[in-house]
Amino acid sequence: MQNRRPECKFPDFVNFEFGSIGKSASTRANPNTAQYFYFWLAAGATTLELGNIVAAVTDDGHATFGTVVELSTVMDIENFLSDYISHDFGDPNVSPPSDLAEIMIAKVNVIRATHDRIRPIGRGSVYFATPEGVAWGLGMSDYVEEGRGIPIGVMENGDGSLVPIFLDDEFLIGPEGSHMNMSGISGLATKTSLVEFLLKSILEKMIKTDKRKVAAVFFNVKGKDLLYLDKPNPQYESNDPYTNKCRQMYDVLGIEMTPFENVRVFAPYDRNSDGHTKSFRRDGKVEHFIWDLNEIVEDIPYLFDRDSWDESVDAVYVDIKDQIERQPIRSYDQLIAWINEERRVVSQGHVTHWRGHEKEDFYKCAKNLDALSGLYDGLICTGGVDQVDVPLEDLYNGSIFVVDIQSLNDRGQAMVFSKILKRVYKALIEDNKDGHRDFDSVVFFIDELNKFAPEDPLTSAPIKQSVVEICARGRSIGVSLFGVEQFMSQIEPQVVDNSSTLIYGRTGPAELMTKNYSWLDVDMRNRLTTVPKGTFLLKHAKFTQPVFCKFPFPTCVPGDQYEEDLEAIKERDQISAFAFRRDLDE
Amino acid sequence: MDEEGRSQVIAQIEESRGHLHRIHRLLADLKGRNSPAESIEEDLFRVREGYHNFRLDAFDQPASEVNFNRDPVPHSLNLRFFSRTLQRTQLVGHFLVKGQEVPVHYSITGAIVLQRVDRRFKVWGTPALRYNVLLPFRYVENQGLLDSIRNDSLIHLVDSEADRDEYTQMRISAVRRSHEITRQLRGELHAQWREKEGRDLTQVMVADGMIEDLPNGELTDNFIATSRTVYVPWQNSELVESQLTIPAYRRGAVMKVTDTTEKGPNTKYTWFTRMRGKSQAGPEFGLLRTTIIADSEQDALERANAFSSCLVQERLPVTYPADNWDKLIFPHKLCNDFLESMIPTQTTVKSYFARM
Repeated sequence: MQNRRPECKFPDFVNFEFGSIGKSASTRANPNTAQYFYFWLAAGATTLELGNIVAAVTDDGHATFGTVVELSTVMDIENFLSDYISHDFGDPNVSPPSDLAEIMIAKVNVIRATHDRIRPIGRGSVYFATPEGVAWGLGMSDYVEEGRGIPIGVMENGDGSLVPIFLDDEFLIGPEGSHMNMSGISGLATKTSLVEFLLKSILEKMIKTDKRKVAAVFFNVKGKDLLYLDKPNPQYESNDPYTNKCRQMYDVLGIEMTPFENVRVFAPYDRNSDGHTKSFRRDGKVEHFIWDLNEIVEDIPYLFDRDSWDESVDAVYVDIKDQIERQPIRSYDQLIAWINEERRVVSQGHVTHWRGHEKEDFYKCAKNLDALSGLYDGLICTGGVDQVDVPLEDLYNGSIFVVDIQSLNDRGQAMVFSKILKRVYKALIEDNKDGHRDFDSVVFFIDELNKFAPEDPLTSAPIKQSVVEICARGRSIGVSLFGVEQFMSQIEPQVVDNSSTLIYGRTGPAELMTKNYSWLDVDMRNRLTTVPKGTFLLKHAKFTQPVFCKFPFPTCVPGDQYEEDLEAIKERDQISAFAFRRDLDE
Repeated sequence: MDEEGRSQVIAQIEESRGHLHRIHRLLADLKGRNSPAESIEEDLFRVREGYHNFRLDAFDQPASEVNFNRDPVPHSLNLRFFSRTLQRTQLVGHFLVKGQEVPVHYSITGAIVLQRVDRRFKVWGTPALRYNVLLPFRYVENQGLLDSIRNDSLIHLVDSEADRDEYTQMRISAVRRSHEITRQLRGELHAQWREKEGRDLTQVMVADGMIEDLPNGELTDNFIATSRTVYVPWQNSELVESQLTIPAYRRGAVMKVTDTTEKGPNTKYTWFTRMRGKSQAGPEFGLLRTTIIADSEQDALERANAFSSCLVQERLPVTYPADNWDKLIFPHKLCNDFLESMIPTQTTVKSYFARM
């Protein structure tokens, strides 16, 4: 038999050294099309797996690149009956003198071809694509050469090569496209870690290339997830094989293994402990914020559910707002005092209405406002505490603000998120006349996005419209939303559709049955149920096919793994308390 | 695309179809017509293989006491090589010469040897495949037309040598010529095998088909042939009748095969082995005939038992639902699959000539 290597016009794109891994064929039952082709695997091709990127070299010397989306085996058995008979009528221990031919067939979704014709391939020798071939096939070469590549991970091809995968910054943080949405089940340390890694990647690339000025605002909505971005990851003290592989990934992707710099953490004020915040981070690095009445007067209705704040209550509140403006009422304490006075007047027997409203509606509204300081303790100035805002004017190129809102309920979290989002939005659309603003793009990250932009129209979500608005128009002004949730199907479709980058981590089978995943080939979809930690499926606006990628441990410590030095905190608290008493004495 | 452009594209496509295109051009040059037949010629015209030249002599009783499945005879043989041929002759057109219709055939002939290593197969040597165009040369008035295709590297021009001016006889003659080419290819491949592998007598070649007509000098002790056809027109074919009662996994009487022509005697030995139980099946079910050469009748008996033991094991895996699956051993099916995978299908050839 004659062995012949095909002539290829693009030898750098094809791993000829590894050898041919199969040959494409088009059968009556499975014809090749312009979108996909089939090939059978060579006898020794044992390293190919789903998600690998291969190149079929045809006789004309051109190469067609594609992603392996389906693998199946075929044995030379017409039906189960014949195999049953072949085992001496059902004895599985029988080993016939000849082994049945068994082959593996791969279905490959075409990514790109070196010729410019849209037509199926017939015969072709199939090889692994080289990293250069993958980059060209996915269309990364162009924007990477122009300095627009943001590393997001590596694709491990079947030939063992680690292929760096880059996103186009113009499609990640604008202006051509923007936003990233990521879904996957919790507990695998993939979603938050990947965002941390991606942020590191963005900031480092942008600062290095001096191309864009990017700042980031991250919202910590649960536990200690994002509180220690400035602390190095102790994982990298280890030398186990996977950690070494992570180091290799950083090397391949050209990212330095240093934790974040310029991180500031903010959390609501804790009135019970002076100098403290409502944050799990207790080392004194967290700054507090608290808002005055005037700052939140427009947001108060959104802090209550529909049962507590119906249309009648809302009508009462319009008149209360009017009084706040006219009198003026400057603080929450003053508001409560004024309401108490009004309540006393209304309680008189001959009074049937309060400014035209039913007395009951006024009482209901007053009760809500009374409860506000308790429900949102630390968010509203009371008892003479002065307003301290999140200093968004201090954001600058490369800086990261972490706003710790885990202590707030869903409505409180939504209010903080919405307020900060709007302020940054406003800062970005206003002309930078005084030259003070040192950023032109801001990356927002929020977990559990389903709480803020749910798909279900019946679920109350006061800031849903704001999020949709940001997703629709944010790209042009430099706002990029990185949203994360467990189930993409529970997110408002406009948010997902407007995200140029979609990332899928491990996902349950029930979620995979929803329409968000219907575009994926069945095998790829099923693989999502078992993807290991640190692996994800990436769909980017510039890619014609999704890619399975891996990413390394982030350079910062995962919040849930960081233990603070409790003795040092205790000592610091004692000093702080002593200083407070001494001040009083003086 | 205009008419001229379309014609050019069609011409390019046709050119790429290689030998089919050459035959089409030859037919056109002969002022003939495409007339592809529905079925292949081998199904219509059975070639006489020459069994009528051989006589059977039984010198042994059936070994009905030995169940080769349950009690295989100890041996050191390894059925390692398997060979099979392929032959497909298709009528694709005809031309008219002085009122005589002359058929033109396209035939594919091939032979292959597969080698089994650790229960898996690979091709031994190079499969022999030949694509032929057959027509009786004497009807071609312009012999220059034949010269133009004679040295073609893609297709072999073959004279089908019709004896009579009769259309049907010409078709039979074409099948016969194809058969000769097939036998020739098989002979060449076997000669190569004998040269390289045949010396180790424990490594056995199992050929599919008739070897009775081959000189014993061209055969070795590790070369056996199997035949799935129970009835063939031996001179005393009545001997075969008694073989139909052979029980499962037993062999019948070993018979001496003698060539009664002037080429004889070329003595060989043949016997039937029942490969499977025949309940709810006809008497020919699972009957496989094996032919070997041997130094003596005793030698033939001993080796018949050893080969029967080997062959009964080859009943698995089954080749169901292939034709004659009860007798078709898996390696021979694989040989056929390999050859079939290398050639255009019957439908492709028929469709090509039907639409031109």
